[in-house]
Amino acid sequence: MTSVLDDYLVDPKVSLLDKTRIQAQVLVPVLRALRAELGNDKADAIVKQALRDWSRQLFAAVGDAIEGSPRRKWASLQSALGEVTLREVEFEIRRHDKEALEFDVTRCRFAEFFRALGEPELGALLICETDFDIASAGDGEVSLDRAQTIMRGAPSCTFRYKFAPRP
Amino acid sequence: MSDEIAIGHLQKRKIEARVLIPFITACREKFGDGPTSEVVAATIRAQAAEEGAQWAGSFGSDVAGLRELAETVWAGGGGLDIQVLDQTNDRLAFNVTRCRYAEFYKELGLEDLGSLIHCSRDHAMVAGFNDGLELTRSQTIMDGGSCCDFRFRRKT
Repeated sequence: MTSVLDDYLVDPKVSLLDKTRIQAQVLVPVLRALRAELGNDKADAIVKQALRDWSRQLFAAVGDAIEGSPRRKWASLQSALGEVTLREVEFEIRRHDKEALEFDVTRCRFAEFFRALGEPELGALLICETDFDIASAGDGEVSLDRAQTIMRGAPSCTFRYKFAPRP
Repeated sequence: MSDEIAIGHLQKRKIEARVLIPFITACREKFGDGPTSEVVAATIRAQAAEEGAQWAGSFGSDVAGLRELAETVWAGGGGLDIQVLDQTNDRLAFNVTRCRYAEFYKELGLEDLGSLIHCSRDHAMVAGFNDGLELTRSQTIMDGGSCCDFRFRRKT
């Protein structure tokens, strides 16, 4: 089965959680060596910039390849991401109508993995920030506000999507 | 972090490369090929040596184990086409005539990073696999050669 996220997932047979674990296994030792060389702030800034730029470019390219309005691009990406992430989280929908989608994630295996590893900021870069890159595909028609995440220590992730009125 | 995830070697390397490439590219842009980039490369080599030790545990640390490793893990899932030329208790010679790892990096236009992240691991891997063996290799497909000439032999 092909997904709009094939470039991101590399291999659809590997779960997103396993894919992320493979990436953390190779990246964490490199990051820690670089912190020892440059200091934490400088090393973390490099990994942040590198991974954010990569993710933004990747999802922008994927979004460009999807036909239709920004809202449709977002919906298509969001649905593909849901297929690979929903099995790893528990969530409660608060509101879902034509103006908004609001839900709270109350358990997240990605956060559990990265917090156990002691690298929640790396988890935020590899997993949580993806939601904003996908929201960007909704260019002006979809916006995301998320005040807190489990990855950064909160009891839940508060996803609040707003949709612009349809013309 | 030693949990093994059941996945082919080629796919695993591609998944790792997806995050290593932007990270190493950013380091190089910022620091050039100086000591910082060398820290990154040295860490990757250290991981390769650890992986070599794990493989020795699974396949045996002799020449026969090395051949099985190359044929089942590295070449597994179509990663490599291997032509074995010679095998004794003290040496193993094979050519890689097609390399999907190199094709992956070439499609991205990043053969130089492929040499750094992928090919350069092999010498470090051997040290972890069996310190009594050594690898010489005069060319690789990643660097534009027609084949990769792997020549392992017992150190004298």
